[in-house]
Amino acid sequence: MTAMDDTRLEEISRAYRSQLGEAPPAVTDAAVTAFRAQVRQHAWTGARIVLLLAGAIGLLLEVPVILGGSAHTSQDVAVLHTALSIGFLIAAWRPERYARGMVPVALAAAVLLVLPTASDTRMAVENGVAELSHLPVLAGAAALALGGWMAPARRHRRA
Amino acid sequence: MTREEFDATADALATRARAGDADAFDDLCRLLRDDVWRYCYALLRDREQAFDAAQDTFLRCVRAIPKWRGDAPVRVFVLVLARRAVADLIRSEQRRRRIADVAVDPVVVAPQHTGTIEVTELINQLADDHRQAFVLTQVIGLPYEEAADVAGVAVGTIRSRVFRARERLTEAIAAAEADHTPNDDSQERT
Repeated sequence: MTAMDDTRLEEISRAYRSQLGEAPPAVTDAAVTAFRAQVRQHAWTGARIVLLLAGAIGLLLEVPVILGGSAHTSQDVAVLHTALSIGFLIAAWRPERYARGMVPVALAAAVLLVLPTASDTRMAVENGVAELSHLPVLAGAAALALGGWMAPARRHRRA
Repeated sequence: MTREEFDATADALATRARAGDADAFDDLCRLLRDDVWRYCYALLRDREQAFDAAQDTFLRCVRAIPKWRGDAPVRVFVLVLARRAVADLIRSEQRRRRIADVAVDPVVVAPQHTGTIEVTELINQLADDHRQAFVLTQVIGLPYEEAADVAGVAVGTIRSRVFRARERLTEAIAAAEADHTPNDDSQERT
């Protein structure tokens, strides 16, 4: 028996496509969700490194102050710095989950640390190294803000 | 949309997806999902398993799309992923059956009685290799060279498999039409 002609073959192919139907739309849902999560994760790569460094340096600078029996006020400030540093480390670990919530706190801390320095630069220069200890907070706040701005927000699947 | 236009659209979406455009990846998946689904079904002949394999294919695509270099259409690239996903699914199914030590009957697709010959059933009766070649070239519409890439065989092998599939289908259709004719007459009389 000879094989069928092309017209008949096209009819058969069309009937097969029709009988089999279209793919269930849900077949791509998991992949699209995973892709969006991966894109968000990649957007945070650089910011995560900065957050990790800011958190680690902040801890190295402030934990000795807490444990060293300094004046009460110094200890209080060190505790707040340490809390921020731990927040940076947690945000570096799971940015898509924790970073956005930390942005207002970190930015407020950064602005309040910079304002006195900017208003009295002579005093800031005299304080020297003490003012440099604010850098981890500034870097961490900047990383949070930039990372959140670059990462696409979560969104629902398009219909 | 012609095959060339389809591939050009898919390749453009893949290029954007490779650069991290999630919407482009979403559109690419929508564009290719019917082909992937039909190919997985052709290899597995089971709708549930075809769904699992197609879903796995697109999940593999998430990690694999940066590796697509554009030297072949992205449709071919994704269909190769589908073939691997199906192979892994069959392997895991065989392992599961060995562990359970129970013979699991394959799910039989209920024929859709449309009053015409059940083409799906006839194509399902083709040998695995012939069915794969037939679906890639005739249903999905790949050229023989690309179908050979997807199936991982030589172009000549695909050609001969498609030829054999057409022969078998011709025989099967002739037999089915012979079987259907008296029934159709009796339906018309009632």
